[in-house]
Amino acid sequence: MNIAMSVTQFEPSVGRSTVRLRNLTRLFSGRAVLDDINLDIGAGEFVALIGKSGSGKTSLLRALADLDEDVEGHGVVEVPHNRSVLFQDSRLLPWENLLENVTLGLRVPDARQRGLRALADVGLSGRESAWPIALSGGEQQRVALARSLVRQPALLLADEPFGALDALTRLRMHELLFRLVEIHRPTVLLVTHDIDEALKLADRVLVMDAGHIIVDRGVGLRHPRRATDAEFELRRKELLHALGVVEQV
Amino acid sequence: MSIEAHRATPVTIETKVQASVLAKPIAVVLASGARENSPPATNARIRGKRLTPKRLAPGGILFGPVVLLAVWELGSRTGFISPRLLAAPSAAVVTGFQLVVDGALVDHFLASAKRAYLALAIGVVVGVILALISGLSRIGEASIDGTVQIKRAIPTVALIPFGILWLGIGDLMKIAIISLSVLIPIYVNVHAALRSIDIRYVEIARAVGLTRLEFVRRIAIPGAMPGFFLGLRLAVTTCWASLIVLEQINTTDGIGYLINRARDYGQTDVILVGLAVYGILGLVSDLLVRLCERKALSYRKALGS
Repeated sequence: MNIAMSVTQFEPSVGRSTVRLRNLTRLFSGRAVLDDINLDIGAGEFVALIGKSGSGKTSLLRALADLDEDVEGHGVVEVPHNRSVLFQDSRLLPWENLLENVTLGLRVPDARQRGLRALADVGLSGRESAWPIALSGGEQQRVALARSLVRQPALLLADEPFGALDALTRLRMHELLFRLVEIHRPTVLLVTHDIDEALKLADRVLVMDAGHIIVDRGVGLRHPRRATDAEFELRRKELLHALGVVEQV
Repeated sequence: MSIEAHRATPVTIETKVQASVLAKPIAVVLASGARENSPPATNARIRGKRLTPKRLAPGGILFGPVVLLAVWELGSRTGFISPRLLAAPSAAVVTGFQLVVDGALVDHFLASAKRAYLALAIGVVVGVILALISGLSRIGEASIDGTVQIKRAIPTVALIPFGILWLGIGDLMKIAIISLSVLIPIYVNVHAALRSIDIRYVEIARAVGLTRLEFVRRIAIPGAMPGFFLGLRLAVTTCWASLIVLEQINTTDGIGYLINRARDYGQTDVILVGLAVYGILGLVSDLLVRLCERKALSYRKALGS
């Protein structure tokens, strides 16, 4: 059952989905972690993917990012060539300064200028020659965000990017991400375990369970969204229900 | 003293808690009580029993060697140690000074240094190249790693007979054999460092679409630098280790020759001078490598300090 997956990479064009998955199945030691998934994500859409741990959400993101080599499975994955991945940890190279980290693999003549601008966008101008170790966790993650956006991706894949940050920093990062996404307009797939984060940022929420997408619905709330709004709470209840969580109190 | 501190502190804590209970409303007491109490509690624990040794004072590392030298000198002066078996440290210092003044020691040192460092340079270059090939490709690892591991198991001096048969008894043979011994620590450490590159960095390289060459230059090589310096620290002393034996063969110069001749003449002070040269050289080489390491890996400086 070692059928190579066909991963097609295309430059996104108007009227086409940025992401197209057809019958995507992935197996890890015989167990299907992604089970016959079909998914289309339109250009510029902000999609949040939630689910219990082990539901397959990270596997789906890794499939879209084409991070895994020699995986078992089949199906069609169509993603833009120009995509970025934001991980839970910043993954800055400790031996390169912030500017070098941001422009890693960026092959354009004005890479330096763009890198500096990207650092300024995340509030770190003037720090371009600092070592990553001199930064706080939140600052490091902002550099990682700059590294993702400096290449103007058609698709931004974020795997619980704020999961390791403290609550206050996380709120600031939500605002920053939202603002930068407004400017750069990439298609976003945000994997998270935080329902409020998903409802606050996304246009559309997917819920995964046991390798399937069991919920796929638009959020349909106007920005700015507040977790205390009645409609927000309604959506949260629906999602919690889908996740099999019964709210206490 | 420490027992007293241990006993006294809990009492202090209790009084403080009680005092704040009386003085402030409950909610505040819970928060502030914890804050006020923790410093004395922590102090008491540190004073009571320290779990790690205190940091050594600068120069403290010399305590052992100085005591050893003093005992030894005393033993020699009192006639307890015969100069026929072991010269006094002071005698070795005088002899060393004389050998430096008449230029003999400098000549011997330069002859040895030329062999050792030429071999070091060759061994380091070859070791790094082999480690890169073996660490970054499957066919490379298949062909190189096992071979080097076998070489590692064979003592360097055991290669001397073949060295003489193939390369003669001159400096070429000596340098070749030392290079082979230097190559091992460099190879082993660089290879291990390359093999243990953090998968997270490999993934980011894949995510930003680095080419293989860019990956090697920006992730594999910088990632292997700590391993390289560890190997180099071992190599700078390894390159001198075989000289003592090799310089018994067809030479009239070198520290190894000096020591061996001194043994024939029973000059224990000259033997000590030769050993001291090795010791000082090892120390200085290690310091130099560590200095380079600190410069090259300066991005880590916030970690250690």
